[in-house]
Amino acid sequence: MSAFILFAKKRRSHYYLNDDAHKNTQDEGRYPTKRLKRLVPVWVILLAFAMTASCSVMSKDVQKSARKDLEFNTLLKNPESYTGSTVLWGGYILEIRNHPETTEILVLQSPLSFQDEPGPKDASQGRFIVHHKAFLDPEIFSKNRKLTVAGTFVETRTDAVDNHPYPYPIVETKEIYLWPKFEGYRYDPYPYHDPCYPYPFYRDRFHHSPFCW
Amino acid sequence: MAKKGMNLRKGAGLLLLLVFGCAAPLSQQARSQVTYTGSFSALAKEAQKFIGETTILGGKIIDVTAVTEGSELTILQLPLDQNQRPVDEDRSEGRYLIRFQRFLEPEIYKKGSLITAVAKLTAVEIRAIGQFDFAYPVFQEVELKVWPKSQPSGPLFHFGVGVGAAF
Repeated sequence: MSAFILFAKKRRSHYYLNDDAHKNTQDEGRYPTKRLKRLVPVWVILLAFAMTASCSVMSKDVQKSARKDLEFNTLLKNPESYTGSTVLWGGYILEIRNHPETTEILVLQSPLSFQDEPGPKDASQGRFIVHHKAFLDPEIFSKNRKLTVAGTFVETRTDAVDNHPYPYPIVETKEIYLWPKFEGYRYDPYPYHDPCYPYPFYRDRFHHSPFCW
Repeated sequence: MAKKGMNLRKGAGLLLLLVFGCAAPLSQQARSQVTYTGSFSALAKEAQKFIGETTILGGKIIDVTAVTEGSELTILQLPLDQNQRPVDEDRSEGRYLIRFQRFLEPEIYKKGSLITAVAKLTAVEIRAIGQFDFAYPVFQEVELKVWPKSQPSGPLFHFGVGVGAAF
């Protein structure tokens, strides 16, 4: 979409170049320059919108309410004062527990990067528990899968990691996103190189092209 | 002249390959028995109402167990593509069981294998997943196809607009 806007913008500027030549003629009707000039801010806004839009997998709503400035570590230091605030966290699934009405997922936290995707495990600042009010299949939400979750921070609950007591922050889900499995890169077996080749099977950020919508 | 004949033969071979490459994984005999073609989620939601219906199923094997009368597969439902091959992404609508009158070798029908089947819904059974009581629709086998692991999951042909050169 952004590619289209760029293209369109370029074509409009062609009219500007011809603007002077047609100033004193009656041809203005054929070149709708005035209207286009007025439209320039619209194009700029659209372009800016296309550049900033869809950088997260979470909904606009949740992004607005989530406290993105709130670091995982900061919350852990003083959890009581953050009760009820919306957080946007992610990480890797360690364990899933199915209860009669709900599901609990133990997650190894990892700071979010581009598109709110969890980064490497090494950057982890700890663990947390995702509390979901419905059944989630452990075959899908399996160990080591990447997860981004937006939800309300409820409390911390101390649970044991082996024999060590660990204070798990608990997040009640509002939105949950499971990242697609990474199945390795595939080479393009065709002599005609098509940038959209693996679409829609591998549309991740490495294979993404603005021409492939 | 001889060369032209070769090309013809090659062409015929390719055509044959194309025909077989697109062959359906299930026999005509099995497919003709299908009575339900709606979505799996609708069937699973009110499974009691659909008992006796025969349908095409896709999925991934979660578990294989041998029972006295034969074998039982626990399967994670997956949608099928146009070649009736399951698409192994996260768009599952639930789980189900398929029962067999024969023994399935657990080394062949391994966890993680993709299957396509024609089967008849016979019952609903509640089993625990952790502490959650999951209602499994239980099917009886009509025909089963297990997909080899190496096959690519995408379509073999891709149509697109591209710039390139061929020699």
